[in-house]
Amino acid sequence: MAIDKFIYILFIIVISTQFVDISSNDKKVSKKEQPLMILENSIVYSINKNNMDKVVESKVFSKFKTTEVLEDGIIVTRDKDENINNILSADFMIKQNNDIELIDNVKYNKGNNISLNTSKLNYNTKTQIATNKVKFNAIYNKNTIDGTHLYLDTQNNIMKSKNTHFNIYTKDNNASN
Amino acid sequence: MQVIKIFMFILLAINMNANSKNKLTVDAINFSAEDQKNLVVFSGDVKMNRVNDKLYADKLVIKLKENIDNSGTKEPILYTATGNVYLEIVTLNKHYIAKGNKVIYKPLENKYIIIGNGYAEDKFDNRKLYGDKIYIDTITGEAKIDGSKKKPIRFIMQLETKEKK
Repeated sequence: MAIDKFIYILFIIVISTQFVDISSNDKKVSKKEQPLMILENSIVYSINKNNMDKVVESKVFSKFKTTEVLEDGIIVTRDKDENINNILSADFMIKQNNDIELIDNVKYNKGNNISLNTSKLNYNTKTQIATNKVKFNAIYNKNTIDGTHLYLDTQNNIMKSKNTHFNIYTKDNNASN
Repeated sequence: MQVIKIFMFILLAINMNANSKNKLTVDAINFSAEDQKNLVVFSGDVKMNRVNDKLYADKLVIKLKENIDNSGTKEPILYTATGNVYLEIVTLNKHYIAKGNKVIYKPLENKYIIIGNGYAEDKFDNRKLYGDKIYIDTITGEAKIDGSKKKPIRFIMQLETKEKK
């Protein structure tokens, strides 16, 4: 009688562990989604009626169902009024709809006015606004700036941040001071 | 070889000294810059250091002007500090501690202007200045005061007296 019960319990345990294994395997598969397309050393040009609108370069470009991942990515856009290039680069870029998450070695450059370094940045391609919550350092009109919580409107040239340290290099004549 | 090392060190020291003289630092909780308006605004615990001068305020607005060299860069032409403004100015023979409703710094004229309830005290010779507008030259250390009808100029100087025993 006791052996019957033992076999019955053992049977239930074996069956239940089988189900657990299957469900976790399913999760692993969905997490490691296979890319639909992979391009190496790719350059994508976006052209409008008048001229070139955007250039996207990457060492490895992977297209998934809902996202695009760029390794060593560079995005170059043209400023509407000033005829200046906006250059955005990072080790990894994850694009979903209009939002791009830039990770590691993130750099932004706009002519002589702004050049920025940080480790994380979120950029919206529609609004062309970049934000983050981590530390950044930048050169703004030849002056250096360090801070956190960056807000950068690249089209309207509006920059905001918190906990800021700003170095201004002046030309004032204060030799005797 | 030793002479070259010493020479290089002196050159580096001179360069660092020159850089610090032309450097102005601002620390603040909030920063915002609008390129089209040519304005940079700092707010919240603003601390500005310029050579030996120190300025503390709630808000600091810096007005920029485009450089003439066509480099596309801008340089500051006017600094306006408001809200709990405290200022320390150190020149060759003056050390002012000043307060006022508003402090303006004009870098191209090397001049500070303390506006509204202006007060400045020279720590070297114990002079106290009160006025509606106090102008302080950052090179010579000279101070000029403007009063108003309601608030005339007041100048206090502490004199040393010898008591007879």
